[in-house]
Amino acid sequence: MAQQKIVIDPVTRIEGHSKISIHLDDQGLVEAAYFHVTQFRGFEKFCEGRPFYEMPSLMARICGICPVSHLIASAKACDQVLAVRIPPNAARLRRVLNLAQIVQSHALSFFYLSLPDLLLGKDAHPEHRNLLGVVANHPDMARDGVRLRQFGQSAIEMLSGKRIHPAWVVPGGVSSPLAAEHRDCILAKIPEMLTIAGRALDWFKSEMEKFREEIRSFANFPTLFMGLVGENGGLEHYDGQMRFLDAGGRVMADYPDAS
Amino acid sequence: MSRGVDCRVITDLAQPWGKSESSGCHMSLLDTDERIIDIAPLIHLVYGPLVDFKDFPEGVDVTIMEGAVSSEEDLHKIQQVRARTRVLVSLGDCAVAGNVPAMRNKFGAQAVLKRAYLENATLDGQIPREIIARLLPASRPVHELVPVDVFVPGCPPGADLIFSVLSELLAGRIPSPSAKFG
Repeated sequence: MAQQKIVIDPVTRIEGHSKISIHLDDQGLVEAAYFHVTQFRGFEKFCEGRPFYEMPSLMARICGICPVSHLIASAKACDQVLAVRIPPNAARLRRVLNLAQIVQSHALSFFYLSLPDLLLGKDAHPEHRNLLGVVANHPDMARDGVRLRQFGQSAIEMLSGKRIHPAWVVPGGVSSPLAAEHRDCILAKIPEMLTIAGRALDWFKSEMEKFREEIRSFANFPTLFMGLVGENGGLEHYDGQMRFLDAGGRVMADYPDAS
Repeated sequence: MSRGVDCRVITDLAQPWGKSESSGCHMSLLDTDERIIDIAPLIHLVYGPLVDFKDFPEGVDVTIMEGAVSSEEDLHKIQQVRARTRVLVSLGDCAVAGNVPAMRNKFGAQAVLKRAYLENATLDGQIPREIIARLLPASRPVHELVPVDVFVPGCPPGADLIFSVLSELLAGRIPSPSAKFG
């Protein structure tokens, strides 16, 4: 058997752009596999010479799915450039914005990107194996996904004025407070959103029986783990340190070092 | 008032991602929220990041294109898209005007690649030569390469505007630039 190369191009239903190439040796075994990030725009260079306070809004454009992440990271860097500690309420508001993004991005990933494969079967024809196929065959689940994502996006809009690429997070804090009626509107929707998330998780768990073979074999090998943690080692999304665990769950290192 | 479209007619809709955009425009399209569910029966989604097709098909009714044309692969793709599409929509400021990807133009392709892959690299820095498409000298709006039928500016364009444009197209009409939308 001659050497072969398998190329998956494009990789679809991901939050980004990529190609995968898998090289097989002449026994037909994998000798190398590559994940290629195929998008390049040059942010590292073209921000040079621009005023620093432009950076949060500019960096938001790195990604239209998670602009909030880049907006906040850039604003935090600007806070450090200014050597300021932002008002506590500004930090809380940034945290709420960040959480709203996590809701909408996870809803997108689960319902719009992964659910077609899980629900309609990996071998279903691509013509149906997509969001519109979910709408056609399981409209209740599609509606759940739309509403969960919508909740995150509208919370972002209520906080910042815009769903995608908002400008509200700035060096030194945020540029306006959260109106009381918007706060109440967000709070009022949470029970329904928890119900939707619960329903999706229950369904997901019950479906796992069908994927025993995949669970056993796909990406199932010892790895390190990395995440942001707070003071007590709990999950953090806004501040904290990066923590590295080994495959057994033991802490290997923190960055920056707590000491 | 009767709708201008036969609801049994399925519009073949392609929504490719360019390689020079944020996907914010696609996300803004999804921000039409439950209206997507209402128009879903009228649409055949035939290409784009939400479907698992690898090749751009022939005979597409409407293509909604996001992103500037930045690489040789983008260029090849947009020419193929134009040849196989009846109505081409330039969606968002990157496609309409170059926008953020075009900010690299004054530095030139080599300078941005050097900064990213060599100057900022700590291990084995090298500019990708295989698999990753070569950058064009400049990142350009879609209509500088192929004729465009509809322009929808914004960064991103709002969901209401996108939905108005989509509704007009589904009704068999090209949206009029002088009308007020969204």
